[in-house]
Amino acid sequence: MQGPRGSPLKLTEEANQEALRRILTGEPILIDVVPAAQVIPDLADHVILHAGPPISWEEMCGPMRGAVTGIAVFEGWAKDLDDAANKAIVGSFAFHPNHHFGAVGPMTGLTTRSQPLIVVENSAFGNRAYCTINEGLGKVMRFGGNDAEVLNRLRWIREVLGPALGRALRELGGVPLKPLIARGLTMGDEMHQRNVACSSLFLRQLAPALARTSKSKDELVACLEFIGRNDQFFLNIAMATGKALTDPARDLEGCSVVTAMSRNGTDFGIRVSGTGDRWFTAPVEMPVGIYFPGFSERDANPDMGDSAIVETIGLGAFAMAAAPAVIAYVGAGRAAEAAAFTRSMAEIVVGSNPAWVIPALDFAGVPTGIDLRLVVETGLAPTINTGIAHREPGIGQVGAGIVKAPLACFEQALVAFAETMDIE
Amino acid sequence: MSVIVNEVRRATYFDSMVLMRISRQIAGLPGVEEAGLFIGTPANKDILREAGILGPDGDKAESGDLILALRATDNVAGEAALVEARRLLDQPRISGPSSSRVGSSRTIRAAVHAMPNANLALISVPGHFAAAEARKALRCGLHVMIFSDNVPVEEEAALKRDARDLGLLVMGPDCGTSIVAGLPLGFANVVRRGEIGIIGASGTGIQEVSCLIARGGGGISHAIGTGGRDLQAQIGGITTLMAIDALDADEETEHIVLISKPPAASIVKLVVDRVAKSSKSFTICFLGAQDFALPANARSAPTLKAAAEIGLGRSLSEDQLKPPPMRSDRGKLVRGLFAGGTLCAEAQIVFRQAHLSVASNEPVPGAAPLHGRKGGHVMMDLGHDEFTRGRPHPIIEPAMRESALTEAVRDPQIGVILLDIILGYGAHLDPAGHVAGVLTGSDGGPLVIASVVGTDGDPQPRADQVRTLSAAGVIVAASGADAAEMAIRAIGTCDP
Amino acid sequence: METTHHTEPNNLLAAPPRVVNVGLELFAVNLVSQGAEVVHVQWRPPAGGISHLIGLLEKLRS
Repeated sequence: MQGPRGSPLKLTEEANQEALRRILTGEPILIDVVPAAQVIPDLADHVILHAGPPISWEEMCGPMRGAVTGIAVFEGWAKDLDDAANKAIVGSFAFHPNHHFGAVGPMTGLTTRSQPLIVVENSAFGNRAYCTINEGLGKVMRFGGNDAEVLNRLRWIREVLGPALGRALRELGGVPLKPLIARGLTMGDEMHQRNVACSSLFLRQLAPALARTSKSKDELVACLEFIGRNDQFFLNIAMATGKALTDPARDLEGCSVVTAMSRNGTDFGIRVSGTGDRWFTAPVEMPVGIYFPGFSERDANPDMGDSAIVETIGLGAFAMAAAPAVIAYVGAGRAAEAAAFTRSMAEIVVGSNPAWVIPALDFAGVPTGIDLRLVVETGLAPTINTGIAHREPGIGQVGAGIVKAPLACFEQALVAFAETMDIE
Repeated sequence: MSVIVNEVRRATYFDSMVLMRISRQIAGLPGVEEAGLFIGTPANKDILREAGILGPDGDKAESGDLILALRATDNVAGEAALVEARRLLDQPRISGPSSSRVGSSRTIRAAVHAMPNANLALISVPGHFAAAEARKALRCGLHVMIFSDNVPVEEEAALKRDARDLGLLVMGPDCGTSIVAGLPLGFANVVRRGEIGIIGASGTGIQEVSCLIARGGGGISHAIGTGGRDLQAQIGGITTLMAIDALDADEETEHIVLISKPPAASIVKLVVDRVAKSSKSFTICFLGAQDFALPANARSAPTLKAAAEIGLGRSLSEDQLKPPPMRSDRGKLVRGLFAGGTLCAEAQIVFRQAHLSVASNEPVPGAAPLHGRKGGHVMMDLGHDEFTRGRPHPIIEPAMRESALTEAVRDPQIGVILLDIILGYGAHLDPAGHVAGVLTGSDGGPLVIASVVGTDGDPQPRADQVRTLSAAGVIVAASGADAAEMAIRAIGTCDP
Repeated sequence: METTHHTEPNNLLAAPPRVVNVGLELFAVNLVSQGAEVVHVQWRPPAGGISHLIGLLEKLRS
């Protein structure tokens, strides 16, 4: 069926190669940390960005609501959590996906005007992407935590850590992230569930600049301790990197490459280059994994977070062969299964990334550029490594495991994608 | 009052052999009248419908779903059987040591990526999907062998035309046997390499001729299966003609044997014209057909044995073995129970050459169809669709022939039973043992004459299988044609 | 990332084939036991067997 643009196959193959080229030639640099309103002017009062595709207060899961009420108090839009909840019910807040404003956020992923945001610039294409700073492990807002401890920590991040990081990064001239991630891959990280190597490399690079630009020794100590005890500190940087690398590949005619995968605790959403900004959504699936002592599947919240952007650029579960230790989180499995995940994901992508190689797979590049057509054809849904939140707000992480993107998203997307090519 | 129980598992796929094994286990449970586990393709739903076990749930299943269907004497038995079926499906699959050495992928594309020098796809998926998979293989530059049957003939025609444009060979659909550069593919035997090439529309035909040649001291360069319909007008012999081109150009090959059922006159001409252009010598075995014009470089052979003999250039040792006389208290009818359709056809041809009446469920020209006939010699093709839909083929599972064999042994009208025992890769590992087991304690029964299609190099060495049969009182003939001739000698030449 | 290349039928016959086995695992197991080079495809019906999706995929590949 040859339209005026030539054969559908040829159009898509060429568009996909271009999308892959753009992703692979991106140059992500961590250049700054600044207050959100400075880089996202639309972030007025009462505007709350969240993880995942669009969602209303009524549809939100427990942790998301917990985070919303918490952030409303933090920003001074409500007196207390109950007041915040009432205001949410009557529609006082405007909710939007992070993705609609060039941002991403892990788990509940709330982004509001006064929070400091990591700024990653893709110097090859000039675009930027943003993410909040990782709060650390335990009882934190991204798992729905909203008590005084959580809000005080956010205040310290806003007033001390954020500005300190900003000064250090500006003094350093930015941190190139592509080589740092490449090193992390050779050290057992996959940049979603496991970030300890990258977090350490990052701190090593930044520490002297932090020391030089610090306002006081106490401040320096606090910052170093905060970053140093958070194995997942680099996650948020990896996420902003993911968005910075995929954004130039958006909106290519006839292109079947997936440009975003994201969840809001209720729905899983994907975006495909050739169908522009349309979200294709389906109910999220439950993660399968192992639970911390005292917790079980009964306690698990459905899948949540923009962190699947990491799999969208070939890391996370796609690079699991680099991080066999992650298999321990998935339950009793053999280290060789980690490689099987990567090989499986290689069946649904356009190509691989020569800059990010996995030694255990004979230095094969991570599988990159999820092809919508291949997902539908093979029935192999992208696999995502994820933390598991407690379904009640404010309790925190209760486990870790893997989750699949729902095939329904891709099936819907295929129909819409075919329509853009006048095919039914 | 029997109950029909169906359960559908969405988007679930299992290998048809695994499903058949589980089906038979379930069918054997107490209170279960009939059971079948099938992928929900239209063809499979027909099978379940005809077996009277397709309910409304199963009917709604799509081609990617798995249907568990059964009929039981009551709800309790039905539920218990369903529970057991689920348990068997969910069991972890046991991977043998050899299967763990096979690299695996989910797509042909990934497989070619893993093995860039791949040059052949062997496709054995449900027929509904086979042509699409073959196309994917062709797009990756692979030749294709399609074992699957139930591929619509229009799809076969389109596929072969497209493959021809790419210079790629499509062997099949319904191609059970090929041997390429000494490698047995599908259901095939281990035969010596040599200078005789075979092009065959029939798997068991290829097996018999290749084994006879090997046992006769010759060797096979390549055996190319074309699928059963290649020489029908709608296909026009595309694969046959390409195979002739290939063997013509192949240095190893000096003589080519063509095996098929008699094609339509126009196709015969097409083939014969092409043969005439070759510089090599040909043996054309259009089973049973002899009246067609032959070019100078070709001879015709009416039987598989004759084809092997012409290929070898000498007659295969005439079977000196005289069968023991039949018991006088038995009838003089011959009942052939064949797993190989072409061997069934050959036996009919031998009988017709001897001017004996014969009937079959797959009659050759001159033989009669089965229905309505009472008495007379009968040759049954137990590998035909009517017996194998939803059941394992008797070559894989000799038990499929067991009830027909037992019935024939007990029938006082039957004086001789003819059997083919087919060996090689893919075949049951001890078909002779199974036959011997059925025949134990049947002294006073009919003479049993068997041909054994195989070689000593097969996974079930022919000499061992022959020994097992002989020890059970079976008379082993040197070929299928010899077995049929021996049966004729045994009953005398009286037309019953 | 699909490549097509024209292969003369003679290339098939030049050496024992390197096989991509799609379907019955038995065939792959037999080939391995004969020392053949084979990759097994753990086949599943495309698009979960949903015919209108299969149709779209076919047209998108035209």
